[in-house]
Amino acid sequence: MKADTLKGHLDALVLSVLAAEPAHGYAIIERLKLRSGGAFALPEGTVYPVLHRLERGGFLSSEWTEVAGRRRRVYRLTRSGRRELGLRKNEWNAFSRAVQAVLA
Amino acid sequence: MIDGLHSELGRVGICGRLRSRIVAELADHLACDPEADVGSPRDLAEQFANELGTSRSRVAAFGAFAALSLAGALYAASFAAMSVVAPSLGQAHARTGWLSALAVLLLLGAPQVSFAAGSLALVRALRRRRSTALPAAEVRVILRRAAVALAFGAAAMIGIALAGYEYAAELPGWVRLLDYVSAGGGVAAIGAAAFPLLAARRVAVSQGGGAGDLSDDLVPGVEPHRLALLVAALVTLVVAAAGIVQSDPIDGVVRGLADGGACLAGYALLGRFLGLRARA
Repeated sequence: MKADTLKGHLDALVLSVLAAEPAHGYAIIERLKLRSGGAFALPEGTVYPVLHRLERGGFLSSEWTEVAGRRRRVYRLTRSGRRELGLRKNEWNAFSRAVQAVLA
Repeated sequence: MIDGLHSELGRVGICGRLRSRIVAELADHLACDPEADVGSPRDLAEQFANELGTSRSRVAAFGAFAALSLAGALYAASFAAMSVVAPSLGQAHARTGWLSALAVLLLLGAPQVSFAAGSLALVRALRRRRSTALPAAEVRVILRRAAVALAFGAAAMIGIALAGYEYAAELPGWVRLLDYVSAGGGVAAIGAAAFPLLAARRVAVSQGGGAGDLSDDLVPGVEPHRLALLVAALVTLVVAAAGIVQSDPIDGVVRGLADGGACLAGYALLGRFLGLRARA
């Protein structure tokens, strides 16, 4: 799937991946690929600006951990992020139902 | 990749701890998968800058409006106190002629420009609150509006201090003290709001697109010149009506026409600079 197609939905996808458990950037991308059956293979760097933006918006929090001598930034969903995910899911469900109804 | 990203982030104005953090995150990513396609350092740095610059421009606009609200309350308290204890301050004996003229000019003119520019910065920031990356031209417009609002807000506060100094003979001590405290507090609040503005200006946003105009702020799809005329007419009517309510209709009409004219003059002089009308 093209990166442009995903652009408007990436925030919700990232929030959804983090709803299960905290993760760092690489793990988030891997889970996106896994859960989408490989359909969401976008330039991997693009997820980092999204993570930073969601954190600025208060939807994520993050902290440094150390793994094999390397610093790693781990992100987790905040309460406000969980609410935002719920809203986005509802919006998406309404939208996809409408599209489905037209295409059927 | 990592060295390239470091220098590209510097090029777009992302430095310090934020740059270190981004570089460390990408280094960790590449350590997990050395073959990962993370995109080009330039594209990545520009994506960060476009989103960060957009977000910081909104913060700067909100911060400017908050600071100006506080400064406005202090200004109003001082102005009201001076009006009550010395209603004919304009004719009072001042220490010097030119400083008192400057004080009156700043007291009466600067708050209006500050309020208009600050409100326009706030309105555009609110209208674009869900945009992740705004065009560079639009970010510039928001920051210019906030900067003009803060500069004229500071000028108004200096006007309050100047009035306290110039009309010392006419004003009781507590009013002069109120003037100085208000001016100091207002300038401090405005100074604090300048920091996020400067932080936003440091980020080089490169997203393409137009800056929009007054119709993007007020009523989409309406010609900006018409909107400017409408706003000037409304201001004229409101000020004139206030004069009628205060039983001085002629003074009200004169003031209304002056304020409406000032709106149109501001639109003509600052319209392009503040993104009220598109560049030809």
